[in-house]
Amino acid sequence: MRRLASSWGLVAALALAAATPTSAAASTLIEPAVGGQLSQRHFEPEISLRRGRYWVTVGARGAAVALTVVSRHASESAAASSYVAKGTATGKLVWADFGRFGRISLRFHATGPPPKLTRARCHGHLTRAVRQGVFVGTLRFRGEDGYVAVDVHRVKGRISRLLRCRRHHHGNRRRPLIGVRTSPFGNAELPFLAAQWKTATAAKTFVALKDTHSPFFVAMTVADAGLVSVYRVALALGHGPELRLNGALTAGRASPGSPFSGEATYSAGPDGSHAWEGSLAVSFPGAEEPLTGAPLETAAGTLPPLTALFLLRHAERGDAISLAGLNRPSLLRPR
Amino acid sequence: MLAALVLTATGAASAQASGIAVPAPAARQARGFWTPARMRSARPVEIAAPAAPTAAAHPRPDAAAAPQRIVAGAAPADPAPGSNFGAIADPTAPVLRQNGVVFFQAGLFGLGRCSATSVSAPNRSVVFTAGHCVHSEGGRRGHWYRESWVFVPGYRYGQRPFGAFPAKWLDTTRGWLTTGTENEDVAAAVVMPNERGERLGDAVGGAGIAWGLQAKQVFDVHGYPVGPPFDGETQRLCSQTPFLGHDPASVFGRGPFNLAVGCEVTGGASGGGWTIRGDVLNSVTDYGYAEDPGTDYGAYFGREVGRLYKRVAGIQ
Repeated sequence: MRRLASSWGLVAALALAAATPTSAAASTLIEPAVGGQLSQRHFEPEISLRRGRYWVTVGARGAAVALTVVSRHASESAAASSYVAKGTATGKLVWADFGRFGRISLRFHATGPPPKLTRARCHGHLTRAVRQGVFVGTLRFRGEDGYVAVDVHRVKGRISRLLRCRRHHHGNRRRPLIGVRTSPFGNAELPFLAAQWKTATAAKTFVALKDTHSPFFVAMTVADAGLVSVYRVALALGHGPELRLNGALTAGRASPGSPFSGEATYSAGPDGSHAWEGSLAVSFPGAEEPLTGAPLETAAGTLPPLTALFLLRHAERGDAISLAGLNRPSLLRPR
Repeated sequence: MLAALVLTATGAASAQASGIAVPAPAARQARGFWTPARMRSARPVEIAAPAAPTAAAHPRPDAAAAPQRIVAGAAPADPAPGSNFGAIADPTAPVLRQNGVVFFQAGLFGLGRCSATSVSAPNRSVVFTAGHCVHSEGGRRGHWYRESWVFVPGYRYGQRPFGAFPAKWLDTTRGWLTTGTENEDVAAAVVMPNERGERLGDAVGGAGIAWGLQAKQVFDVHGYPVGPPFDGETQRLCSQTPFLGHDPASVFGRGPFNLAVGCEVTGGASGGGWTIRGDVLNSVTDYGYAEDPGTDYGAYFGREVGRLYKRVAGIQ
């Protein structure tokens, strides 16, 4: 039996971030390599709809199609639930069966001219050849207990064809869901509190990270829902008092704002015993999750800045799927 | 749902490019290569869990002395004594003898081993195991483990009560061969007769095989785990283990969702057969997560596995 530590390679993602050259370099366009999340001809549909307090987006990831529901709770907090199903995304259609949640069967009709591919378009390790158009067919989705419902047959959108730049000189420029006011972390490791739980088909992680300037809080869950895997993430930025953690990392308290509620206290004894108690919970689109009590296991320790940056950047994009690699206790090093 | 339950072969099918032949002289030599000492020294081929990047990149001088606060699975935990992967008293008993160990030379890795199951076929010579037990990984970097690949049914403490059956043909799913997707980590071999000239099916029999069934089944998980607390020297069984659900992560891979069952397996159990309805193969052990040693994940047997079976069943 092979033992896996991470399905999508947090290690690889971190390595990629670390290896991003800062100097400008000549760029060429090549197809993404086979493996990982990109296929040889990787097309990514982009559809975005507003439904009340939620944004509903459709995208593709490897051999899967993801429907993501995002809610913004305040200027510095957000939560997202991604429903991921086996599907097909090509330059002409998007198809996926979300079981009891709904179905996507859309054909793409381009309305704009085909994009010109030039080397100048390479502003990251990936670049996109974007084609605007209209999706026609069925996009039907109903979240848990009907918290959000979509039933449309024609919707504007676009299809991106991802191309990898042979050499690159800037980071990924996807616009975040919320703007993080803190500067990128320095070289120092950052103290964290975490609570985690995993079973055969589900996992839950809460991380409170104490930056020099302000704390941030991330909660992630993943669960099997039949033909669908559901990934959720919530992020809240604090101003300081929301996370208290002593220097020895033996006592702490977390009380993040919306979409979190309540608070949790952490204490560790010299004999290795520890406690994680309180009323802390998080509100994802379509689900409320307690973040204290059994069977959550707790930890306190320090994270290197690259890991912290990975956590923050994906959380602020609502990218629960990429963060799922962090639903691994082994990635959070105990002190 | 399309369901196919195959207890006998469906006819000859020509081998395709997803497999590889093992030259007959090399196959015959494989029998002699595997002495009891070599069989005992073989190690499971498994991809070690990558160390946490934090620990690898930024070792802390006080890390070793500090108390370990992550209780649940901070390190690959060993199954507790009394694991539910119980030892089989007599692995040479009918039906159980269809399960065994495959041994092979794995290049720089050294001597490798996995678990496998004899499957009923017209050529009476088919073995099913995990894809990574015959081909190292997907894509161009992968290579076949065709050197000294033998199946030893009923293996116990260095003994091979039914002899060794060297592979003459190795085959795997197209998904595993081209992309290394966990969702299709299944392989099969066609083996030569043993030292006594007996075909595998005549010597130990063969399990039925089914594909296209509902995922929700109750499995008997067989295998030869090597990692602690096991020693790989006798067959083990997780009996009547129900389907727990899918691995959510497998939604991204090519092929069907992977199945999860509660069974505390360790390295070496890869390729071990999951049987249903007494004696019908319906999955094989593929992988687990370091922090959740109590769960075993296996590939769903869908159409791709059906195609694999038809290919190998037709090889004489």
